[in-house]
Amino acid sequence: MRNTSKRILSCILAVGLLAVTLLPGGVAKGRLEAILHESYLPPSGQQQVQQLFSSAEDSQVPTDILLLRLQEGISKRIPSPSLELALRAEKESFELARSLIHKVLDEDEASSVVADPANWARIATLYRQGIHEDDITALILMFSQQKSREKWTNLRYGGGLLLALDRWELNRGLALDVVEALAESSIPGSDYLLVMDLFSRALSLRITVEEMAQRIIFAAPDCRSITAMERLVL
Amino acid sequence: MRSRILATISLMCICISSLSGVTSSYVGAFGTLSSFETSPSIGAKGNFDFRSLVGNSGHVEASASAEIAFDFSDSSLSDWESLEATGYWYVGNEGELITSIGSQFTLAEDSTWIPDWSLGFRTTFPSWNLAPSVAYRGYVTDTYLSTAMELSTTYTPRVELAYDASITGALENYRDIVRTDRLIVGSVGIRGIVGYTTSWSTSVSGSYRESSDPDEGALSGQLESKVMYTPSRHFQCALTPSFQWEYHIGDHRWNTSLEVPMQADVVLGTRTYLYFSPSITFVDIHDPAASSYEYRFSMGVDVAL
Repeated sequence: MRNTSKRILSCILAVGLLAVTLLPGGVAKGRLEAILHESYLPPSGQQQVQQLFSSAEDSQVPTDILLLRLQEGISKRIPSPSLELALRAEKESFELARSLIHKVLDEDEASSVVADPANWARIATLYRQGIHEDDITALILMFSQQKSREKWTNLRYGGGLLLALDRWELNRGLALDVVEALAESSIPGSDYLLVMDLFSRALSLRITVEEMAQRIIFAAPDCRSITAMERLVL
Repeated sequence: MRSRILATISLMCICISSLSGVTSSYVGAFGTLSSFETSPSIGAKGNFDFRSLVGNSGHVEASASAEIAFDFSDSSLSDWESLEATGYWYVGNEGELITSIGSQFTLAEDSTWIPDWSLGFRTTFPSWNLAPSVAYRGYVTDTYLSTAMELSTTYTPRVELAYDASITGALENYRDIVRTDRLIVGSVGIRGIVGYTTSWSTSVSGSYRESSDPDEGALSGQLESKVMYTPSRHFQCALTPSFQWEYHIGDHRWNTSLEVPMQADVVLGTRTYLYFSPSITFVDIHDPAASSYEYRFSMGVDVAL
């Protein structure tokens, strides 16, 4: 009697696991077909998109995120060739990110980062934002040292800040030093958004960009928030 | 007067020289043209800024600035100087005691000395995103003493957005004309950033003045905004419009003005800042028959040292 119950329970668990494994793919495929069917894309374009999604599934890139991009592109009525290019770039950024994560981090940590599509997507986004691979490597190394549970979210903010500093023509080494000083401090990642505001206000006060970067590097270890830093550097 | 000014400068120099920290300074030259002066004026200015950590107890900052201008209309020379020193002393994990002393003064023929001081305490409640503070401050001239107490708080629900509110009670004593005014001022504001390039703020305040001189009792208010756009290290522009109104209770008189200043900064190289600063002010806009406007245009160059 006890064995029969165990067998039934095992069967239920096996069916459940199979359903959980197959459901997202099936739902994603169904959603993809529905989206393409209702779209303005020509049959050839739809076929290209379907092939791209098959290839993404084969290389285990999260197709849910690609589906969101597809829906966004269709709602903006982006022409078929441009949409295909954007989706391909998105898929490639995930593949490049995964490869880099495995190269930079140890196997256990790399697997845990890639297992969370949100964290994986954050690193893939850095590629699409145009950040150089060496800088992404440096960012991954910096933020992997953080003890915060939000470290991969912080990495995204760190990447955004690095890009903004690059647009301000700050020397690459100094820009990385600024992000590293913030990564090593206890300042929350979301506060990095305000760092460029410090640079803007420094311009009004005639403090050069390089001088401001040095001030931030100097002050960051003693600051718990960007408000505290603001008073030390401006 | 000059000995007091020199004593203030010496005291600040002694304090600063005993600490090591970061400094920044700049010098500049400017020219101004306005509708209320018959001739343009030219001038020069300088600014020095210092800040330093004081071990683990807090940090201090000090600044000194000076400006000298020559007015061609009456061939007069005017000057304005300022010295300020502020100390932030950490209290527990979230508290901060803030002390400051300073002075504004002129050294020209009618030399003036206006010392100011403040003492405040600010704390934060991170789980509520609140930062309340209390401050006492004052300043004095040869004939006038102003002291004020302010309660304020900042609520920051997310990093891109903050709300400010404050209430201030002030006592103003005009010793030469034996007049005492009591003021109460309330203010609320909102500020934020958009992406990495734009910051903005807007605030509204209202005040009630009760005076021992019945003609000076008044209600007044101000609405002001600021938008600053900095797309790159080479360019910045800011627009800071404000509207003020005042109603004198005794004689039912109104004063209103709308001021629209803007400034554009262009950075040449890394240390040279060229700026253009036009401004227009409309006065008595509540009365079309009496309303008028004034304009002012300044341009100059600053060099960071």
